[in-house]
Amino acid sequence: MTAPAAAATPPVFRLEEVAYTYPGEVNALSGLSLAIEEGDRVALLGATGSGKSTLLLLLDGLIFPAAGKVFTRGEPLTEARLQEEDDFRLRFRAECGLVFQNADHQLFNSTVEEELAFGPLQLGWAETRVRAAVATALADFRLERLRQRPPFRLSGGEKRRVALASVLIAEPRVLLLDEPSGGLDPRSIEETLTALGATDATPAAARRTLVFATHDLHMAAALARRVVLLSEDGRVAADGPAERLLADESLLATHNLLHRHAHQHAERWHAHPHRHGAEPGQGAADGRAC
Amino acid sequence: MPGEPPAAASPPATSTSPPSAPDSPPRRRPARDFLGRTLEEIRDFLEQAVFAEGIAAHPGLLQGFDARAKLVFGLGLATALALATHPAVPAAALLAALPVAAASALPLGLFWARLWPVTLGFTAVMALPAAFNVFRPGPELVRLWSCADGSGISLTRPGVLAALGLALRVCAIASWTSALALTTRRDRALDALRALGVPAAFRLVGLLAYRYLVLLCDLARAEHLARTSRTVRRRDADDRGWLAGRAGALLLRANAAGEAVHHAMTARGAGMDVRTPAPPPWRARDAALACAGVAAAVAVAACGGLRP
Ligand SMILES: Nc1ncnc2c1ncn2[C@@H]1O[C@H](COP(=O)(O)OP(=O)(O)O)[C@@H](O)[C@H]1O
Ligand SMILES: [Mg+2]
Repeated sequence: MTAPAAAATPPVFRLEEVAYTYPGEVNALSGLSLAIEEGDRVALLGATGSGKSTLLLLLDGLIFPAAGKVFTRGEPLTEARLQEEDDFRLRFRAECGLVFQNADHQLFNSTVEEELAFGPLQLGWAETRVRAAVATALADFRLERLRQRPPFRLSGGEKRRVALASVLIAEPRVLLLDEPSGGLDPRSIEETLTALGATDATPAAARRTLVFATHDLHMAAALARRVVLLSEDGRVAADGPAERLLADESLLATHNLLHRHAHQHAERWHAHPHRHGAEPGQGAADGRAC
Repeated sequence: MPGEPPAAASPPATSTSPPSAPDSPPRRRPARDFLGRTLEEIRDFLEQAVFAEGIAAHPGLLQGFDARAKLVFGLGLATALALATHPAVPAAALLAALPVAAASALPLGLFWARLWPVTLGFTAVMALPAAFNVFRPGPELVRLWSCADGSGISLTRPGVLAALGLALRVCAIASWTSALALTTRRDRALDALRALGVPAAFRLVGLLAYRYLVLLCDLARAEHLARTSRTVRRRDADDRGWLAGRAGALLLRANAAGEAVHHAMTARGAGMDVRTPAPPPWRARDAALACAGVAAAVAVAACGGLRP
């Protein structure tokens, strides 16, 4: 153990020299070290394929590194522990929630209502509490009209809302989000930001640890206090306060997060750095942001 | 993609055809793009009947019973049908399935248009040889082929009866199984399997299999649409070749998606044993249904299959 014994509270996550390789020798992450403290709001930035989704799956204990170590609150996060130690698993799953990049993969229940109830039921909540939480979430996320609909029959934005609601309903203290603005129109992005407590509206939202992957520099600016920039070979290229890194145009441009092209604002053409649109693979309807 | 109304999936060819028949029935899709339509139909069927649980959510006769009672009844009935030697037993079961299905909001077309032809076709392959004198000697019905020495190949009375009996039996079991399964909500079905002591791993596989099928059809349809949008001229023969060629890749993609779904379940705390809301209490009619199933099996067994 290299952690200083004097540290007051161990970080929520600590990664030491983590490497992850997909079948077919695809190195998604290599030699990645990172610590995420309680209450951090971290934007994971990086070009497509830089390993953002892979990192989130690692943090959520769904895949496990080929080399290196992952700790959660000072305890090793390993496959064996999650499988064999039931109370550790329950504690960890109750604490961390992950909203997947592709809502189609996340939604598997037959109705929106069941989708919302799924997480709390697995965590062993009493049924009356589950029912009350479902009713609140249906109202909060404007899903009442859709409660009996199968989730995969909803529109892209509605699916995203259900996916977010189905995770937030379990009140996770650590929230991991993969491309929360992917394929959403500006209004839905605004709603997502509100739902995530961008304004620190509730004390719970203000205390929550947030790690989200995005290309969307606006969302990063709105939500993050810290930015971790991943390079294309899956290492940490930069790590620092959001204001500083998001203002560093040359850094962002080398990592493919900005491009310049001319466009029109109220009949005037001009050029300024421009954020990338949605990631491919989200369906044809996404299109480019501008 | 899935969110769109189904109309969006009809090929763009409609807009290029001359607008000469404004009074033709508007609901008919163009009879081209066979593959696109088939993929869409399979997916719709799976969604409506199996995954969306539209039928299970409907009020109806079978929907009113406890899933565990239905499972016991189904097993009892299947045992009775398997033991029965008299063709009247499966025939009666098959006839009884129809009014029960009708009272349970099951579309009868599902039986005669989809289930029976498939079951009969499948059974015919297995049962037909039994109808010939080679396997079942007996009074000849039709002689198909004669040899010089007077022997030959013919359909025999006991042979035909045996083949018919098998086909009836399989149809009856398939009809009741689908009627019971389609009227049962998925989480309740999982409860029932748990109550019977089916191991958690098998139940998890069952749960994933549902989702997997829908994903597979989704992917096939999405790929087909993507291809259609990039092709000017389509022919069904090309389509079939394309699907055959893509089958492996589609399975791989569906497999990756299935893994992602499993991740999503795990991420929300599901262990091997997926928890479901507590089932409603067992009522008198549930006990009666379960007993009826067991009684049918015992009665048929006790009477030696009710020999003809
Ligand atoms: N299931 C997978 N199988 C093989 N390679 C994968 C898989 N998922 C991702 N990859 C590869 O791993 C790398 C990182 O992917 P990912 O974490 O999804 O990046 P990001 O989310 O930043 O776009 C990419 O090169 C990608 O091609
Ligand atoms: Mg990603």
